[in-house]
Amino acid sequence: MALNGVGPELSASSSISLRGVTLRIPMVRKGAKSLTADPLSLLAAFYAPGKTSRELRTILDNVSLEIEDGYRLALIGRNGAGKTTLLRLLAGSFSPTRGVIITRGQVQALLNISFGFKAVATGLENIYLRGLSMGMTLGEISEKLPEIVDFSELGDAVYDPIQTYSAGMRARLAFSLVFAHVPNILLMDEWISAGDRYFVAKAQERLEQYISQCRTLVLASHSKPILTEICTHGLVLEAGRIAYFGKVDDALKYYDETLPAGVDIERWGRRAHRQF
Amino acid sequence: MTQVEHIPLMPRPAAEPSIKVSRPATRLEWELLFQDFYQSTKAYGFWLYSAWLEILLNYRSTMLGPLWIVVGTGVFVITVGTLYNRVILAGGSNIYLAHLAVGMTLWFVIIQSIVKSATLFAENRAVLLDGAITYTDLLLKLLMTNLILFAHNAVIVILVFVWLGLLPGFSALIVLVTFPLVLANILWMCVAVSILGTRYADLDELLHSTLRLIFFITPILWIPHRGVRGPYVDALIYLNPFYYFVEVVREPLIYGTIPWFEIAVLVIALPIGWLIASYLYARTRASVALWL
Repeated sequence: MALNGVGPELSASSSISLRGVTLRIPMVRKGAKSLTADPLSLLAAFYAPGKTSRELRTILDNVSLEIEDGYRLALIGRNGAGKTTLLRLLAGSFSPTRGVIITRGQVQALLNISFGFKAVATGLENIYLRGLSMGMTLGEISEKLPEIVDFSELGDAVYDPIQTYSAGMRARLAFSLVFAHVPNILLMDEWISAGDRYFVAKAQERLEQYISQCRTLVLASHSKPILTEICTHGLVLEAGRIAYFGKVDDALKYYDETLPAGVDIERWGRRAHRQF
Repeated sequence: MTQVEHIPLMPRPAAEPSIKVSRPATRLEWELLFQDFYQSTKAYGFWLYSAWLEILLNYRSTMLGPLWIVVGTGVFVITVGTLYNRVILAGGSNIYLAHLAVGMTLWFVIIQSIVKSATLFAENRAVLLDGAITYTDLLLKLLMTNLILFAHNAVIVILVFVWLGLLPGFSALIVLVTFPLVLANILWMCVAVSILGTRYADLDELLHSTLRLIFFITPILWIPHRGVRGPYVDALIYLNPFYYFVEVVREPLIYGTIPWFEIAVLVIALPIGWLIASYLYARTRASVALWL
C-alpha cells in the first residue's frame, strides 16, 4: 500500500504504526468569572452565551511509534496526558490532525464495556445489539450464543430486561460478550473488574487467556501491579508527548521518578489496588 | 529487562490482515460518504436489528404493541378528516380522508427522519466513540426505524382506500419510483442535518420550533388544487421542499395524475443534494467525533 511519502512502508511485523501523529481538538471556553465578584455573570451566561471562545487544544503532539506484533503495550501517564485519546485514535473513532496511523488487523476497543446496553431490552437482545455494534455478524453471534450465555452464568435471566440486573450481572454479560470475539488488536482503557469474587477470579483467568490470543494489546491503566504483570512494553505520555518508550519496568520506573514528590504513591497505590 | 523475552510473542496466522490507514485528508474526498454507505449496507446487521429493536422496546410494555402507531394515526385521520371535510371543505370532497391519510403517513417519515437527525450522533456518542459503528450505520438505522413506522401507518391508508372504495389507477404505479425518490432525497437531507446538528445545537431547536409551522404550510390538511391561489400562496407552496415530497406520492395515488413538474424538481434536487451532503461529509468526517 502506497503511503504517499509518509515514510517507509509498514514493516511486516508491525501491528500499529504511528508517524508524527498530532491531534488538535476544538475546545469551547465560556468566559469564566468569579460568581461573587460578578453575580450578573449568571444572567449573562443565560442570555448572552455568545461570549465563548473556540480554541484548538493540542491533545497529542507529534507521536511516532511502532507497536510490533506481540507487544503488550502499557499506556502510562497522569490524568489528561492523552491516554484515552490515543486509544480512540487507534480505535479509529478519531482521525489525526496531522500524521498517519496504520493498523494491521482487526481492532477491538474495550474503552467502556458498560456502554451500549439498552436497559429495557432483555439480556439476549442486548447480546445481539452489543455484539453487532462491536462488529460481529449475526451468524457469528448466533453461533457463539450458547458460549456467551454459559460464561455469563445468567441462566434464565437472559430473558429478563437488563434493568432488573444487578451491577455484577451486567458486568458478567459484558465480559462474556467481549470474550466471544477475539480481535487481532485489543485496546483497553483500564483493567475491567466487577462481579462477585468468584466471577472476578474466573474473569481474570479468562481475560488473561483472551489477551494471550490477541496479537497485540494496548492497555491504559494506573495500576502498577497489573501493568507489570500483563505488559511487555511501556509508553509514558506527558501532556500529549512521548516522554519514554521501552520495557514496561523501565517505563514505570521513569514514570515514578518524574512524578511530583510529596505523595507516598507506593502506600496509597497499594491500597487502591488491593482488590487485585 | 528480560521480561520481553519471557512472554511468548505469538503472531497468529491471520488470513490477509486488513490494513487500515487513518490520516488527515490530502484532498476533498467526495467519495467518502458513498464508501461509508456502501460499507454500512454490506454490514446490515447492526442498523437493521437496532431499528427493529427500538420500535419493539418502545411498545414492549403496552398491550397493543406497535399497533399503537396504527391506532394513533387512525384516530387522527378519521376524526380530523371527517371534521375538516365538513367544516372547511363544506363536505365537498369525498376523498379528503384519503388525502389526509396519505399526507400524514408521508409526513411522519419525512419529518421524523429529518428532525431526529439533528441529535442522532450526539445521542449515540458512546457507540460512535467505540469505533466499530460509523455515521452511515446510524443514518440507515434512523431511516429504517421510520420505514417500519411507515409500514404500520400504511395500514391506515389501505383501510381508508377500501372504505372509500378508491381504486388507484395505472398512473399510481409511478409511486414505485417516486417514493424511493423521496427517500433518496430525505437521506441526503438527514446526512446534512446530522452533521450540522452535531456542530450547531441550535439546529435541533430550530427544527423543533418550526415543526408546527411547516406542518400547517405543507398541504396535508388542505388541498392545494382548491381555494384561491395567488402569488403569495404559490410561493409558500413551491418554496416548501416538503410539498414536493408529499405531492409526488399522493397525487398519482389519489388523483390519478402524474405530477411531472414536482417529480422533475426532486430528480434535479437529488444529485445537487447528494453533492452538498458528500461535500459536508468529506469536510467534517474527521471532526464530527470531536464535536460530540
